[in-house]
Amino acid sequence: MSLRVLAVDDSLTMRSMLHAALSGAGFDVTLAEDGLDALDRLAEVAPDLIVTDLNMPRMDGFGFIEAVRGGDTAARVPILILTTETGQKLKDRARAIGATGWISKPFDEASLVATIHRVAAV
Amino acid sequence: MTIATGPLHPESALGATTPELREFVVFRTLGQDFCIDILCVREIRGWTKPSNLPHAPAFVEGVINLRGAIIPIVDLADRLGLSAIAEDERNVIIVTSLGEKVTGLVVETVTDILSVPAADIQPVPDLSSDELRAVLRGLVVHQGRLLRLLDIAAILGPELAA
Amino acid sequence: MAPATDLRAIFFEEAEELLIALDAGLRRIEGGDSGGETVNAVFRAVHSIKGGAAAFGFANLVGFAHSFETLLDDLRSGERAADAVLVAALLDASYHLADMVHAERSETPLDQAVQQRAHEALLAVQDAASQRISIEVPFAAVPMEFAPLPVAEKLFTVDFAPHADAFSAGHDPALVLRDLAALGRAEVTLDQSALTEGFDPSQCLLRWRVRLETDRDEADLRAVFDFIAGHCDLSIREGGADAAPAGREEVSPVAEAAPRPATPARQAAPAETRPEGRPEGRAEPPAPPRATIRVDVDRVDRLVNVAGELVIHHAMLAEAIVRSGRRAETDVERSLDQLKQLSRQIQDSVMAIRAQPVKPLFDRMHRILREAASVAGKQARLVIEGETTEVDRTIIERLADPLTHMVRNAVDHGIERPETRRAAGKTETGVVTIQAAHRSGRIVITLSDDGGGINRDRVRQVAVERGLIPATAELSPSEVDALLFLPGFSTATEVSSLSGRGVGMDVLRSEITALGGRISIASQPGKGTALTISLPLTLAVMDGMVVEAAGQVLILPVASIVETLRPESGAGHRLGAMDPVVELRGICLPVIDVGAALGFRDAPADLAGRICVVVERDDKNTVALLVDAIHDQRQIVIKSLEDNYGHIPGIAAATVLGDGSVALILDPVELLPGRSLLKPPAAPAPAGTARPPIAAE
Repeated sequence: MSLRVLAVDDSLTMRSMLHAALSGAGFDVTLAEDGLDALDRLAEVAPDLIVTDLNMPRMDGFGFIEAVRGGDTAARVPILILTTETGQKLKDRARAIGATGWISKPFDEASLVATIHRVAAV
Repeated sequence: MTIATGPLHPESALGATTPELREFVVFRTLGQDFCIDILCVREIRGWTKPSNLPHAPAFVEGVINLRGAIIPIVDLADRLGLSAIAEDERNVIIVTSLGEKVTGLVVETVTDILSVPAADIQPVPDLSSDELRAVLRGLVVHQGRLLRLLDIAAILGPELAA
Repeated sequence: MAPATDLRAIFFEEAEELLIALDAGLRRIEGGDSGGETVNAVFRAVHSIKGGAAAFGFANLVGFAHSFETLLDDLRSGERAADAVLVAALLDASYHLADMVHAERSETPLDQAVQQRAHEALLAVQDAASQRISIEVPFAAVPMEFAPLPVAEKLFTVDFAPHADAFSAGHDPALVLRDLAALGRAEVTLDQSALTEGFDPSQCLLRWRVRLETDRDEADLRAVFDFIAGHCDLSIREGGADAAPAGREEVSPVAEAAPRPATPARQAAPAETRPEGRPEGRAEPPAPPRATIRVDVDRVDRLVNVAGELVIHHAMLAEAIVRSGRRAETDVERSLDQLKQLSRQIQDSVMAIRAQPVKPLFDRMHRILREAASVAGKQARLVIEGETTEVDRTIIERLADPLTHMVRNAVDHGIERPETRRAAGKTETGVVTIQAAHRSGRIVITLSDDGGGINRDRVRQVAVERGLIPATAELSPSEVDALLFLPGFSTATEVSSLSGRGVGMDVLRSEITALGGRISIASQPGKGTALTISLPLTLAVMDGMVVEAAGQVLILPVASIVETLRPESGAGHRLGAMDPVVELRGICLPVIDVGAALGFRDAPADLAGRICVVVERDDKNTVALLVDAIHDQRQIVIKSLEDNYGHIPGIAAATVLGDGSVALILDPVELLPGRSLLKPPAAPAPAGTARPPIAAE
């Protein structure tokens, strides 16, 4: 059974790229447009891993991670942040609220896939 | 040779061992034999009565419906300055495409599909009138028949639409 | 996996949408709305463009977007107010960003100097800002302090044993310990018993035990380890070191597979634990957006074509049934009727999919206006009305150029210079208004300015100079205005850098005509000029009246038909030798024989036995078209003649009839012969004429 990945990004371009990269790597990919959308899909998808953008409308990545960590559907699912942001403060904050890892955009397909494998294999 | 190179036939890529072959659709109208590059031909279909077009040159017979697209029908003989062919259900329409535009040519009959080595295409003799030279790309002699190789682009050039 | 070109296309399409959102947001800010969500949306648009651009390696675009973003961040954080200078800079930046996106899309690089200037301009605004901030800083930073909540402190014992590979996976246990220590008072014990002589320094062989007194709960502690969770053994328990974990084996130095972040199900995070200042959250979900799907335009177009074929084939079936004589059978009749209803519904639904509001198109005109005004040294603002009016997307796409020309013309030739306006008692800033509305099955777009109006004397003079009209010609004001549409006519004595791009009114007119539309002009000296274009709502279907003239089956657009009448013998009058007129309730209408106008026959001598179809032009002039018979009225599918042939005067398009043959769709306005310059009997309104009234012979 392939690994279920929920990828959250408000940019259609990024969603398309993530979909191409992740389904190309054999993952079962579900896309969501922002935090709220992703939360709505959480129970149905039951992801093994979540990749999320930070800066999104309606509910941003931080809000989403907090909601996931605070809920009971996917509280323990690893969450990777995929963002163009680089600030240390943001990284610290992400870590503090329970993000599992941080990947910078533009992402390198191979290393994204490798990171997912590594994190999810745990 | 003064022959303009049309779209290359795929087989020409095979190399020097096979002579470059060009394929032509051979047809006859008003008793004369012509051919055109098969790469310009989309299909050959039976005659359909066209609807008249106002303000059109005489050689434009009108328009027909080709699977939902409206295409003009040109009487080739008339276009070449011969004279209009008789309206006849046995006439055929050669549907040609030139760039994005699709046009039907009415001729009396399509006789052959012919493969000719490119080297066998002869230049148009200087004697020919300028008018004819403008629409001919060359001559092909096949089994004793003289086939005039038509330049579709010249025939369906910008002057087609009024 | 999708090829990169698909992704590129997606990026550019999305970038267009983001640019529109950016523009709209900036104009809301310009209008005084610098609320959080507006600024956030603007920021996100730039941010997303930057992210996508980075993925495709558009370095220039990324660099510029980054500077843009930085400036927006100042606005977002409240460091800068949205004053006129900043808004102007942001608008300019957004235009340049759009240019950069378009340049990447078309793979035609922008002029390096232009790019540099734009970027420098942006940075200059930023620098100005940071200087100002630095002056204000002494008063700025007031640290926010929150009284600590009275929470009882708890004691945790944390056993932390990174795996041997933790270093190579990029983890630094020291950082984790530092974060942990930050949560409260920590006492750390290091277990280095695993270190042997000659150990491998690339392997992490240390273990730590941390006693932490904190008011935080276990989840907070675990969160610290989330990044390293896959690379360590971790045990967190409440109580002192003695509080041995009953039955938990996590401390085992030979832990098998490391535990997942082995958090016990967390309590629902109470809202108060959210960091301050972030309103997002589940508590107040915004109204759910209407579910939408994104569909490739090609797919919709294919559906439109198939739906069109369905309508045609229904007509074919109906005709075949009539020919077979089975029409009378009620079952057949009823089914056929239902089929007709259904195919019409499908057609309508499909067209509704393609209908789009004109708003994005109109919004693009803000930039055009702004640039045109700055080049011309004028001041102008754009007012948009009826932007929710919907029209088929094919029309929207093809309206962009004509509308752009109209806006530029309005600025270049309509709006006066500020000093002129002041002298005339007007506000210095001119107003260009674009309005859209549906009117009798068409969309009518009016672009008006409050400028000086058409200088009719000058227009006349030019027309005479160019030999377009005889010097003695007597023309009504609206006829003079219509001279502007004549090919080659241009009153621009000096060529401005914008409208000097060869965009005359004649070009505009042919662009509109090619869309099946009409354009008319009206002007009041000193008050302004209005251009009105009227277009079909779709280029796909219309209601048509099937008529016959000179043996040809033709279609008249129902939308243009006022009424039909059957003139009695002798009802037609002739004015002079050529022009027949017919009387309708006391008004004389010019009569045009359709067969003759199309060159199929000579005009008949007598109108008796024929039918007059009275059609209305957009400028309210009416004429009577003479046909031989009326067959039917039905929905027809519009097919382009221009795809494979070209434009024919008097013919709007073609359609396919039930028998598979082609019928031409008449364009009643173009059918009018040039000389029908007969004064319209009851047309006091100087609405102008759609056609050049005088042929340029």
